[in-house]
Amino acid sequence: MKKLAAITILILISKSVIHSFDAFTLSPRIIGVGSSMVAISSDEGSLFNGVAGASHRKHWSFTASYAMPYINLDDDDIRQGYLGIVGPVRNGSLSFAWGNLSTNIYSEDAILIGYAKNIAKYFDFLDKAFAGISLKYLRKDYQANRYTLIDPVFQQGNDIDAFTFDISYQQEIKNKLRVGFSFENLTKPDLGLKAKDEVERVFRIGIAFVKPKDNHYKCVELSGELNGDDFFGHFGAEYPVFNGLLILRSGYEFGSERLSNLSFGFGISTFKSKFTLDYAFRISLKGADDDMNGSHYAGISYGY
Amino acid sequence: MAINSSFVYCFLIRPTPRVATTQFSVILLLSLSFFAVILPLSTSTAYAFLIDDMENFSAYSVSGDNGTSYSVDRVDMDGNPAIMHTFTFTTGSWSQIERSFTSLDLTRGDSIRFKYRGGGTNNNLEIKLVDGDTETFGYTLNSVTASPTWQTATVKFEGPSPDFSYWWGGDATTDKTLDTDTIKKIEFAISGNGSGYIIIDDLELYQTKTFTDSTLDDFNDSNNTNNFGGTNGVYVEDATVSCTLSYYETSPYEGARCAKIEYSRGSKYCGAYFPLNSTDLHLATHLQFYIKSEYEGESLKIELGSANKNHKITYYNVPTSWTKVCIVLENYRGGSSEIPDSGWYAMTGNFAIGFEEGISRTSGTVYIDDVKFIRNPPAPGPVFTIDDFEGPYLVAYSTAADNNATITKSQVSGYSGYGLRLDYSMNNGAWVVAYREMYADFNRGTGLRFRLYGGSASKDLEVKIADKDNTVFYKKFLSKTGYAYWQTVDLLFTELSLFSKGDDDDLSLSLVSKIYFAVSGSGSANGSIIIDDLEVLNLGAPGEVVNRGIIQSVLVENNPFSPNDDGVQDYVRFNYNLLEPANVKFEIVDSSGDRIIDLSPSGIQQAGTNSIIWNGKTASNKRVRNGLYLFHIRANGTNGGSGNYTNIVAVVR
Repeated sequence: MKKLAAITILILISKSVIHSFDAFTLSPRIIGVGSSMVAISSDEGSLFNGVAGASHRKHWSFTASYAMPYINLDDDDIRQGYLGIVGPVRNGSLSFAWGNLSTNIYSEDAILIGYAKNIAKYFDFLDKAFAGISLKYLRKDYQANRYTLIDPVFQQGNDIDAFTFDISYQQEIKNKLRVGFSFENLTKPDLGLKAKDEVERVFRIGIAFVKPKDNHYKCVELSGELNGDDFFGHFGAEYPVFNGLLILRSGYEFGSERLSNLSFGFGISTFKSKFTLDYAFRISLKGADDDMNGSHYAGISYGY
Repeated sequence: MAINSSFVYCFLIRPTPRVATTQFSVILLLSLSFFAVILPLSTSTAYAFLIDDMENFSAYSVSGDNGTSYSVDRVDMDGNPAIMHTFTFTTGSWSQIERSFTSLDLTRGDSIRFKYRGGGTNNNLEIKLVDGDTETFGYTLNSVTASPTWQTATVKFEGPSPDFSYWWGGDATTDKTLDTDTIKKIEFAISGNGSGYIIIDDLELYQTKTFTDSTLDDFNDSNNTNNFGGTNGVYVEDATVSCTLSYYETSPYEGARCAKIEYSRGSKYCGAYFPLNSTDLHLATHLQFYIKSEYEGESLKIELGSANKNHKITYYNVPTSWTKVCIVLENYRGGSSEIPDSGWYAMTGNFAIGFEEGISRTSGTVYIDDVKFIRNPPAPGPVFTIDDFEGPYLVAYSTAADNNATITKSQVSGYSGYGLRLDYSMNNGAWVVAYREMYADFNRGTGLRFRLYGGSASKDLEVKIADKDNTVFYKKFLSKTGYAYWQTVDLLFTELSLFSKGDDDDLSLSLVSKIYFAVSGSGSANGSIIIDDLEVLNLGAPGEVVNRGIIQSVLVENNPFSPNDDGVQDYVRFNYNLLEPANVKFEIVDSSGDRIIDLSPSGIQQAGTNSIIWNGKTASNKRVRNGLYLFHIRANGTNGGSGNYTNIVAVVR
């Protein structure tokens, strides 16, 4: 009953939440499962979806990934880089992540430092519950050109930055069944060069079935995201095969306007699962012309 | 691709095929080309020449009312520099930029034309002309300074209802009349309140009047009274000379008759004259007629006269078969020995064919037909060339000068690496030129760019391009050589006009044979210019040449753009050039792959440049968030071709 009450409170809170900094800060593992990692979240690749799950980590690990979405762009590229590090510290876990998106005319950076710990011991009605908080630095930069030169929007400069923070929570409500949520950009930082341009608050909530298998997880998650006025749903699954050598992933995300993305991915895990090579492919089912559809993501992760 | 003159064609005289003819062609081409000053024309009913391309912002001074702040700067607009005047009116109400001239002659046009765009507070723009009497004439364009897109203003100073009116200046002795032949200043002023900026570009003298071909005489009626009302006749130095004018029925160039001039002059002079009877020819650009000689080796003088000035051009080796002659009237205009600009409004002298000692035969017979004055329309089409001046240009470049001038070439440090330096010394009305022969294909470009460093003398710079058959197109930059700093000079195809006709009237860009840099202008001067990095502008169409199938090029205007309704870059414009008519699908997609809006045009898009504008809103008319978006063009051509192009556009507020 107490667990049900806790979940209800979380859902009620979600209705008051809105908005985000552009979501490019995900590793191939998360892309592969439809960006659904909220309740599953337990590794260095999903820190921008909440650091609470990092408390599961018993050793240090890191991931680095690089992506070029819409790789057949003409005359410019979208380049995405992500670096995440997670490890146990006294009474909890420490996280660091950096995400970058850049093109020839524009770039974004997000840097995160987070801390998470098991809070079950403070609440007798909780069994396995983890909470996290993360401080984020966000920056946008527009490359100067003849258009920025004459536009009053750029009178005070071409870049702007701000700090904000996120909180996240994850709980095992039943054996193998987890719920999780995160509140992101709680201060709604203003990243407008001239007019106010607040980064939307984001609320994510997810429920997942998670069962360890072959040093990995077989898991499935359904999560929802409120980002400003927009709603997005995410569904994803991950399943290790060949004794954990290969991890298969797939996901689907949908939402306001016309978002409908299907994703696939896999991980190749070696050295007793310490080293993983991840790949993901995401395609929009209602996107533009086939000529430009589909994005590839690749990364590596290593656990010490 | 070719630059085409669709109207009338002037021509470099076509000699008969003899050994001397090549030399003759070159000599005459140079003669006609390099002391000529011709008006670039823009339409068949109007023409313009460039007063200022706004690339030398330091030539402008800026001033303003108390309680204002202001500045003038150069801004790069799609690779084309322009002047930006920024203003903030706290308690004051005006500021202005102005350029001074020693004496600018506007008599060849009737209007000032320029482009402008701006942002911020929507104020009035005033354009003012100050003449030699220090009288200021002005015109106000009301509430125009916030226009986010280029606007063109054509402001008339002449005609029955001129836009300019007397504002102030001068004194009781002055005439309160705008002296268009002695303009001392051109000013652009902002009046109003608030803050903002205005960008001005391509200030031109513009002529809106129509000039219809004006035939002096076709000689068909065998009447001495010509179409201008004058009486044709002959002149002789003395009684020992004979010269007759008759109207000859055998083998005229066309019609019933031609004029036949027979002479026997010994060592004296004689000729035939055809009075112009005070006809207004100030809008004409070329004199055209047909000619042939009875005998080989004939040379003669072609004369025009007005306002007590008679100027002659020598025509060597008149062919023995009918040949069209078309002479740029600038050959007769402006110099101390030439017809003054004011004289062209009432040509009080004659068109004459003269035979003189040292030039002509002692006796002979010449036929002429269909003498007319014409105006040449513009010649749209692309042009470009390339030279980094790092090679053996001292060999590649030849120089020439008229009798009153000298020119030397040398290798000096240039804009990058080496450049070509031309030192010149010229007396009144003289010209110098450096030219290079080449066999170049400019077919994929639409313009030239080169670096220019001037000094000492403010003269006019002319750039000419000749093709394999010696058709010459050109552009003139007024007072361009006096700036002792590096300028980037862009010459787009739209700015070229026919100078002289070769075998045909088209400039064949695939077979360019020569490029010329000429310095000319009134007054005596010693000076120098350095030219460097002559290059092709890849503007076969707007933007970058991408060659994605039938999508030849793409230019994104305003990227990033700021859809915040401040009047500045509130939209983004996608310009793309199609090589064939096509169905076009155009979509905006966000970084998640979600289609924001479908902006596909309906129907078939024509080959050439097409544009699509996005205002930063979704299909449901919601404003998009700041960030990156993708645009995707897919073209399926009606002739079977296809192409697609995807790139990034950024939104910022």
